[in-house]
Amino acid sequence: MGSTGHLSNGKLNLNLLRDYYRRELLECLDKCLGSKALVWDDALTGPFGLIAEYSLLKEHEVEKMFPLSDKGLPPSNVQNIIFVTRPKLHLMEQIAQNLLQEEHKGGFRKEYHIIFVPRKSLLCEKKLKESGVYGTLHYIEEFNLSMIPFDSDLMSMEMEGAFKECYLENDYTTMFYVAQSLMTLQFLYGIIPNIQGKGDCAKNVVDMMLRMRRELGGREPQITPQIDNLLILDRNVDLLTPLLSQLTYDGLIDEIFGINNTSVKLPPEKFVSSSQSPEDAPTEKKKIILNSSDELYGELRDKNFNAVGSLVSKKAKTITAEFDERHAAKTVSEMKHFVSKLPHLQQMRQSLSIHTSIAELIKEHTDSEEFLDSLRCQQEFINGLDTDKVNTYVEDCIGKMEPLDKVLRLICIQSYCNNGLKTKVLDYYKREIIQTYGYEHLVTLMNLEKAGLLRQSGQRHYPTIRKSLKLIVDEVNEQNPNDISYVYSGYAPLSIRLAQYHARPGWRSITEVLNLLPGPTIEEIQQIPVALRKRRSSITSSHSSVMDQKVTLVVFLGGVTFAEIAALRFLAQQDDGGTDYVIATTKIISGSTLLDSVMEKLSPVHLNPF
Amino acid sequence: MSSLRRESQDEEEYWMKSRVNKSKFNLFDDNVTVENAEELAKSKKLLTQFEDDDVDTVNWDDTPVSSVTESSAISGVTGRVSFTPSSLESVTPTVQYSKSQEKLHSLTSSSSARSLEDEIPSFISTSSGSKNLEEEIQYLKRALKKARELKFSPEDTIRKMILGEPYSLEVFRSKEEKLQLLDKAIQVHDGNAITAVILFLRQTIKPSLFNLELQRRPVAINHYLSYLRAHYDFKELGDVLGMLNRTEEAAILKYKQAISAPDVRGKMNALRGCLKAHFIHEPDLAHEANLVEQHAALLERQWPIEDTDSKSEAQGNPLFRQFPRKVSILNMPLITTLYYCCFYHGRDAENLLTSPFAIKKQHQLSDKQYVWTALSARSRLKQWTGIEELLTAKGWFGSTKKVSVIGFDKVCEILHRTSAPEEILSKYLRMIDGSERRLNIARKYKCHEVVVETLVYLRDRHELQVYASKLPPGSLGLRNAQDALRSSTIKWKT
Repeated sequence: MGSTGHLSNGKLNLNLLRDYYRRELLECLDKCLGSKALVWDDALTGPFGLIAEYSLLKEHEVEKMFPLSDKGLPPSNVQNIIFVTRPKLHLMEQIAQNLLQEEHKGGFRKEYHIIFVPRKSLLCEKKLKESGVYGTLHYIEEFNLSMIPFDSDLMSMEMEGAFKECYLENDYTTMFYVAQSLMTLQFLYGIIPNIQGKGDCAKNVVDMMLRMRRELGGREPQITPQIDNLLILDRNVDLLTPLLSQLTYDGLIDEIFGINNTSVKLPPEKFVSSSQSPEDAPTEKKKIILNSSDELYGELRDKNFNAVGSLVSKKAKTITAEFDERHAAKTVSEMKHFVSKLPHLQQMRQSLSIHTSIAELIKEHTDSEEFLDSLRCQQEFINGLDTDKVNTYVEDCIGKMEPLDKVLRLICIQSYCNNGLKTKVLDYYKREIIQTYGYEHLVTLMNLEKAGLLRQSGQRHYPTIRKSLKLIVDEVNEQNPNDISYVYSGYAPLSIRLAQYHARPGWRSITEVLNLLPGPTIEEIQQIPVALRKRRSSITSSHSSVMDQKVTLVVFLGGVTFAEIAALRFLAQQDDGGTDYVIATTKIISGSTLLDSVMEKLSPVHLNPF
Repeated sequence: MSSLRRESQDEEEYWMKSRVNKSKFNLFDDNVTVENAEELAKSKKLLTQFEDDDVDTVNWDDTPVSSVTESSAISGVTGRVSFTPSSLESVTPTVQYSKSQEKLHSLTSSSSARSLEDEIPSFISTSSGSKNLEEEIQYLKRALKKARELKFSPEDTIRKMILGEPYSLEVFRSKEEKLQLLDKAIQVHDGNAITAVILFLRQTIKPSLFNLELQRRPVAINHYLSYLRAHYDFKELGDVLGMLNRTEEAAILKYKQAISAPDVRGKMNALRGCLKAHFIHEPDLAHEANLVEQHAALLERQWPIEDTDSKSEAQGNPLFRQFPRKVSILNMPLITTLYYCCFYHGRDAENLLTSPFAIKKQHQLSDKQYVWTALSARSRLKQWTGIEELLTAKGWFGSTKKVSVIGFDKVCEILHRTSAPEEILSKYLRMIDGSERRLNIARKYKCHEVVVETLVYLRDRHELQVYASKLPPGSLGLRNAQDALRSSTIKWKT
């Protein structure tokens, strides 16, 4: 983990949040005296890596780290074994198993502890008791790590199950975590005066937040609010956007390779330097950290991929030119100046080579026929063309046994844009999918219907929504965009349009559309003491426009895509946007990961092994 | 909130210090677990469906035999322990007591058996242990009684639950109070609290009443359902869904259970059973019923095929030696099964299970699906005449013509993918309608002859020249191109 400077570059200093988490973590660890070994729930190592480094843990006597598994713990002679885990029942089973094995082994006496992240649950404790190991545990702690700072304007909870739990299983536990993290944010950055939201989960979160504040009974930090508005959006308010293929740089990286905890693993072939011989080329995937501390990435990530090529080559030219300056340097001071720039230049050159390689990898993908055909099909659907009958391209994809998630994405898009599919069409698709991909996917299809991703024809809302929110924009400038629709080359994400109208002119102007979207519309005002209110700068002040730039925290419940993030960042840069954005979400998703979460997990079989 | 947590810690430390030995438990914790222990006892009881109220017997009976032998083993251990006190610190006894502690919880329903831990150092004979235990129980009973007399409001209790402070649900005696508690928990959206209260209700009020009250609270139902799901209590889950008239969910639940059966025979039976019980009588599930029926039928077909083929493979059937089967056909999707049969049993008569036609008929597969699959199989087997048959339709008066329901472009794609020889590929390329499209596809598959032909057909001399310049010398395509370029009979486009 490199420096964390990039976290403090935004409107909101997210390093504060990171420091807060570090303090809390250490407090937890320091409760156990003596040497420690941490046993990690796999899903937590990534997020923890973003807030604490191994050396910090070492300073607090953490000597060993193990992954949590059925196989039991490797031998060690530490005094404390600490399980760091999410409150999930299957993990409790593993922990119980580990503990029983340990006691069976006997030997060096240790103390056992559990740290629940973010919160312990009654059911988990019950499970531990049933397994007869609850008594063996010394400390049972909670460490409230949920919103993990990813970048200066981005936080994610990395809970991929949130969408499924909320919309499929009606389990709102994650919403509690969201409310809790929002409380943490208010604790650090002041009470947020204006709250608006849309959707059932948003309502849930706002209710909990207000209740938690009441419970604090005025014991809240006396800070002038640094965040002016809170906007909470349910994912099911806009189920169309995440299904479409993202066309921004980091959106594509995520769609193709998957970005997890701000890093991506790429095939190594492209990253072999010329000096290395092909024999000792690495076979392991190359891991690259993607955040705005890489200057070039910061510039590229939100661009439409069509604009990336020219930008990269322009950058390459500037850097070469700057390198060439050394020939022009005659005097000592000129030389000195050049040398001082050198590390920066070297770094730029390195990151340039990385991103050139990544761009090449992406280009291979975006030039492929499958990608272009699928994109064409998506564009037809969102424009409302031929959405009411069985689409031949989709049929072909099934015939060719293309990946199921691709097929499902297309069908779900069609369903959304057609306001649901006719029974005949839906049944036809279902049949084909089940016959080709296995009968077990009956459950997947039922899940999709339950989550509202796939439905029978209903009221025709989509054309109205599309028109009044101007979702389809014909003239897009991918190089120098003038509208958020550039992120999907002609489609403006519905969710971000809502954010745009929220900032200006306000949601009152689109009440009708809001009524067409699912879930209640929420509006709340949190009173704050007069002394803490932001002072309005006087009209005469010349800096007023800069100082008055408001900060809006947008929370996406159930996930957000990189393309949507890019669109929000684009809005933040607009002079007339009126507000700066900080984004928080339960998980950064793409269409595939979204569908994956609601799909019935089948044992991975090759579809046609014969 | 954190300050509260700290307070509780202090208290915890206090208790820790107040004990002589290094106990792992504290009374403070005990208060919390009284409920849980009781819940545990009662839910166990519910699970085992014992009707009598005698908790003791249930739980003692419930105790697995192995643990009994284990505990007798400890008494041996403890005997030795008294001579060598240092080994007391060893881990093993602790487990044993934490196990027995669970039993004791159930036994007394209210006491904390943790105090047993205190007894360990002086624990020499069993009788003295139980005597102390008796006292402990008496003490705790009194404490509990005292606690009951204090009144807590539902709001307070729920708040305590959320903040992780000790709380007791026991004090809520009347149905109204308990329901108030539930409503309060629902109001604050705290899943943990809701679940805890539901489980408390389940053990303390009549099942009929429990179901009735639950039905009135959809949020509570959802939490209860996810609790059951997390505990794999599928029986109760199915019952609750049935009671709520959520037949679709109940059906899918049964289906999921059925398909998770490990062996195919069990799965077939389970599917048939689940179909009969949950799908057939639901008009809303007609389409799904049909699919489940097909799923069962598919397994019933795969089972004998696998049986015969694996034997035939073991006997060294040349077909399987030439193209070894990579995996068993069991549990494969329908289309894959069709492919398998097209591949290994393409010529089987229609009355056999392995006949591709029979599969098509039974599962009402479309012509497209059939052609697509059969074509891929035959192309891999290099049965070019077979492919021709597949793509030939009878026209008027006994004439024949080439027809492809999936379009000849797809045919060529499959042929190309299975690396068919160029002449075969060219033959079908020529059948693609639309010269521009044909040209593009032929270029993609580098079928020079067809490209040249099409360019000639389009009378595009310029393109032909460009194309010819890229062809390898001496190739047939190049010769054709040169012939065409030299020919005087072609009227080139100007």
